[in-house]
Amino acid sequence: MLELQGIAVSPGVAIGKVLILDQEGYRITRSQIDSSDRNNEAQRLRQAIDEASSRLDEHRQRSAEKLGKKVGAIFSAHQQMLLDPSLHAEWLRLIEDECYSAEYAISSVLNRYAQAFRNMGSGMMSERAADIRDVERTLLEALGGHPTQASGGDGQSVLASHDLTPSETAKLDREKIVGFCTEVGGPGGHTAIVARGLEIPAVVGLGTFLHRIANAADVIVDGYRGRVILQPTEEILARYRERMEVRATRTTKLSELRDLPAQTLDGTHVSLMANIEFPYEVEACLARGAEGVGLYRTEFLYLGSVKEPTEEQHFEAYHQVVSAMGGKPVVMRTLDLGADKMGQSPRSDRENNPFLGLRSIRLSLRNPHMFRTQLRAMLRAASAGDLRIMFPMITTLHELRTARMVLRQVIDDLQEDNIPVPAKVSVGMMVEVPAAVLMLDHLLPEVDFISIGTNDLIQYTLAVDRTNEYVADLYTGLDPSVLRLIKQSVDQAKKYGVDVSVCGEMSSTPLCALLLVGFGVRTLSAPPSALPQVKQALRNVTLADCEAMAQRALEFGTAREVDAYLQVRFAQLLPEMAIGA
Amino acid sequence: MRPADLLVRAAGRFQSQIEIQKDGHSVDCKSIMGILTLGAAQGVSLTLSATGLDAEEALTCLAELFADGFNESDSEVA
Repeated sequence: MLELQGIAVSPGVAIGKVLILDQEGYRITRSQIDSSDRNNEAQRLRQAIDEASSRLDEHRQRSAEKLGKKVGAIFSAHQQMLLDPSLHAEWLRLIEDECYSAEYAISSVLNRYAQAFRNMGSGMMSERAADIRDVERTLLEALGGHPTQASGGDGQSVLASHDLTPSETAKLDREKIVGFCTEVGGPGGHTAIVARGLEIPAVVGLGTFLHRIANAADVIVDGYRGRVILQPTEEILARYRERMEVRATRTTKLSELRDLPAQTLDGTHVSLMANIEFPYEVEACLARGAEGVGLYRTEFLYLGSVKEPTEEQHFEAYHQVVSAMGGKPVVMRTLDLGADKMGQSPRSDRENNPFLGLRSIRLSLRNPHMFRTQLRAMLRAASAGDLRIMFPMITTLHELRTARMVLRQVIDDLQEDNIPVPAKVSVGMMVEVPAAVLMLDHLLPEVDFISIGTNDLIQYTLAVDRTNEYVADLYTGLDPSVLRLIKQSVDQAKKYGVDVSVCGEMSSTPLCALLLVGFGVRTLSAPPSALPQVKQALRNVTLADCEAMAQRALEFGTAREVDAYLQVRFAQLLPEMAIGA
Repeated sequence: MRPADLLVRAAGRFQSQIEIQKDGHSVDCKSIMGILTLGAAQGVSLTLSATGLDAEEALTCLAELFADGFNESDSEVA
């Protein structure tokens, strides 16, 4: 048994077989075969190529139907890779001359190419590396399924990797992967957000551990305590299984809260909205009784595909969400790509400080064509319900005005094309840069609403890169400086009569949610899975409790004191929730 | 990557051995991996050569593919 401590980023417990995904893809051990088996092994390889080829053909047809010809064309190119005569020659040479297994032959040759493409530098070429990885995986699966084998009989696997890129996370097979653990990463990182969206327990920042484990070993991911247990004893396994059952019962209880109002004991109503990333999460929103979508992250369209999504692809996804929400508000954030979230890259050069670089609204304003495409799709989908548009990472008034100007032009274009656009579309901005907080008196008169994005606000205020495990422990929303900025934003918004909500991770923990309500926030947006707990907490306190707590919290000088105070206060107010929280 | 795919498919229709060359580095035109490793972007000059019975036909056909811009306005070859 081996116990590792990391950072818990997505709650829950997962028990499964380890599936290792390292930087080179699925790890294949260098294994050799008996020289008398060489012909059989070569035959296995040929069969696998045929099998993989027909699978790709299926993928190609299915994706061409579902996602359009462009994606289908990718699979066509993948197929061309499978049939590549020089690859065949290299694979066969490794098997026939050097007695390596077909798996190893495939992996090592493809890895060499992937490496070569990565070394060529440009973003486009590293995507080729990802293509190669897909081809490799298809082949390995066809060979009797290395990864499938590792996913175990019951199909429950826990993904272990150095780091999971957001696009990898988005592509995860939710049916099979029940949890994940990574060597690097921190709380508030994009991977963590996606994990919560998918409701998959996750622990990151575990340090180097991949070399110590083997595929298909038993593992427990404890997403509450940030612990990963490799090859647990029967006793520990039993204990965790029992705990999972208790949690399951509690979840059922929480789901009974769905139709109860989100209000404090004295009747103060708080709108609970949901943060979503994928259109299918709408189901979870409604099941958890969300009053709307407070933050719809639109990046997934870019992350899952190699090519820039078309206006139709945008439109379909947005329309699906807006109409499924049946008239409830859906706040759509325009593209927030950049930094750790790059999908296919509109720019290929590297930035030294991507979080201070060309990301989010800056990237959109720099790529007006891309920005307009998205805005057009949003405005077209707006007729299906209550769609609101939100610009992320606004830092200056100039940026806000420029973004609004582009939006105005897009509306004019649509009207010229006789495409209906609602007479009034609410437009807001995220407040996540301290500069914006300081300038709110100028910004607020020009927006319909603001939403405080605590994740970025924390990192820009405290100068902490939330994905850097060396400093991730310095990243906390309870730092007095962050609390002051939030309070200041809420006060200003009230003064100007502009709606304010909080959509960062802080909204998702009952403790911080109460604090935010104490600051005067009446709209919270959190991942659907977090809503029942937040509602339960709200229903058991009074507004006066929250306000007193918020006022006291603002008096401390350090995050540690704030945290200690809040923990104690929370335990007093909600003893039942505090236990095992 | 689509152009590379189309190029390999077109080359595969001929018996001749076809090579594609960039900066003195030459690869088999029937191997998509080879073509991708050239890392050619639009505007780069490439040299095609073929040996075999249908060499002339092959070169005409492939040159047309380039001239047509692979039937798309994509800015990438690889």
